[in-house]
Amino acid sequence: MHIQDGFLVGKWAVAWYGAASVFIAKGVYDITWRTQKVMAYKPLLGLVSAAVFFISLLPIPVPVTGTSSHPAGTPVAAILVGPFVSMVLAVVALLLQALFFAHGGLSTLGANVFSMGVVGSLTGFGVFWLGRKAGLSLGIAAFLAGVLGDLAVYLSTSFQLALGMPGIHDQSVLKAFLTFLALFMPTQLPLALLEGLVTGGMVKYIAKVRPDILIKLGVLRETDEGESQNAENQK
Amino acid sequence: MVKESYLMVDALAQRDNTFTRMDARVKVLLSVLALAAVVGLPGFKLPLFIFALTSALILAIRVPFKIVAGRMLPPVFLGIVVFLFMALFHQGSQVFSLEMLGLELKIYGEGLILGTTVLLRIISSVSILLCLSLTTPVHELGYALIWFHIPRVIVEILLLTYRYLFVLWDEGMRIRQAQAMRLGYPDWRNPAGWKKAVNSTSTLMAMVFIRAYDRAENTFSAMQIRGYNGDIAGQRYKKTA
Repeated sequence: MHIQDGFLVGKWAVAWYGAASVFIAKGVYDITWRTQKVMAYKPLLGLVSAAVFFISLLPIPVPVTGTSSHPAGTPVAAILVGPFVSMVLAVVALLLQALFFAHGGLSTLGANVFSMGVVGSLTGFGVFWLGRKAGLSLGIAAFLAGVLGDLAVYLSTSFQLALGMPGIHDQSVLKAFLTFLALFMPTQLPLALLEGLVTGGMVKYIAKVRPDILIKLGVLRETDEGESQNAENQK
Repeated sequence: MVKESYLMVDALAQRDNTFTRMDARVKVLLSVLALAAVVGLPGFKLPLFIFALTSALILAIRVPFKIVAGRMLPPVFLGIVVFLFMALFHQGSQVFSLEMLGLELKIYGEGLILGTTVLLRIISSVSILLCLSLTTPVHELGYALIWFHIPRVIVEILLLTYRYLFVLWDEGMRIRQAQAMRLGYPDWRNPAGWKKAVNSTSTLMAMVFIRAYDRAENTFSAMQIRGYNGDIAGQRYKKTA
């Protein structure tokens, strides 16, 4: 869920723009730097961004109720292309959603980019990186990145709403934060687990059938398990 | 269904009328100013006025009702929930109360005003963005964003994303259909069926990603043949000194 236009007072909307722009500047700088070396980098990111956008619109099955929801997508983008670049992809996806989908908004774009893009990417990538350092398998590390990344997105969304919702000022920030969290958590906790499951499944599947992509993107090293799995497949 | 709505909005933006002929920069600027005014200024009158203006515009360019309803209803529904929440739980002076099924519903004055403000803000800001997207094709928007000094990197990725979203969409839906035909998405109310469905979903995601990756190489070759040198070509608007 993204914060809709009108949900944040002007002051905070501008503040989140400022906070997000620092990180986005780093992402834009990274992409420009990479483009000078690999000219195909921007077309690649365009395609990856379209894929992640599509993935974030896919229904994922929720057990028991028989309904479905959709994942945030930033944790997996951060794993695949790196945290700062995935923030730029989040800007693109959120801008398109705000303009052509009435999902989110332009005045709250900064806030949404900060929660989904910056916090989601950094948490997702950080957890994945730490998990790999700790010797976890690719699937498990991606699963944890998906779960914690998704949760972090909603924690920061609740925090942003608690700070900036019109008329909230007469309540303590903590109380408002907990209220929003209580509203989100019953639906978001299972969703975070699902996001983790599909993220883990997706990364594991790519490692199984096309480890060369993950090696090229720097997710796997030549000698990592992906290669050996591929060798097994070819046998 | 989502794709159709996107394509419809795109088709409407490609039509020829007074508003689509208008300079995209003016439209972007007006939309941003209107949004800033709606979100930043207190009171009901301005959001109502802007909503009336945008509604008139939407009527004037004859947008099918289905599109307008499809785009406006989800945010408005969210707004109504917030409105009720604020009217019922905000502290302040009580305006009136209702006895219903033994429960006493109290409506508070301050909450009512605040809720109405938020609801009106949501409605008018959604309608502003709807107007912008209904009158501006994406490539025009891209040119305008470059003119406003949005980093080229972002605009370029935006245009490519928009272009390939639909291609990947079709591809993904074909895979999904094939999976469904092979019973990849059984009834997921039971654990075994759910496990299968989650598996199929993650396979589909991975496949779409792999196809996007492979397509990127072809796309790059095609772009290179047409003279791509690491930057999308040119400016639409002449540099004003």
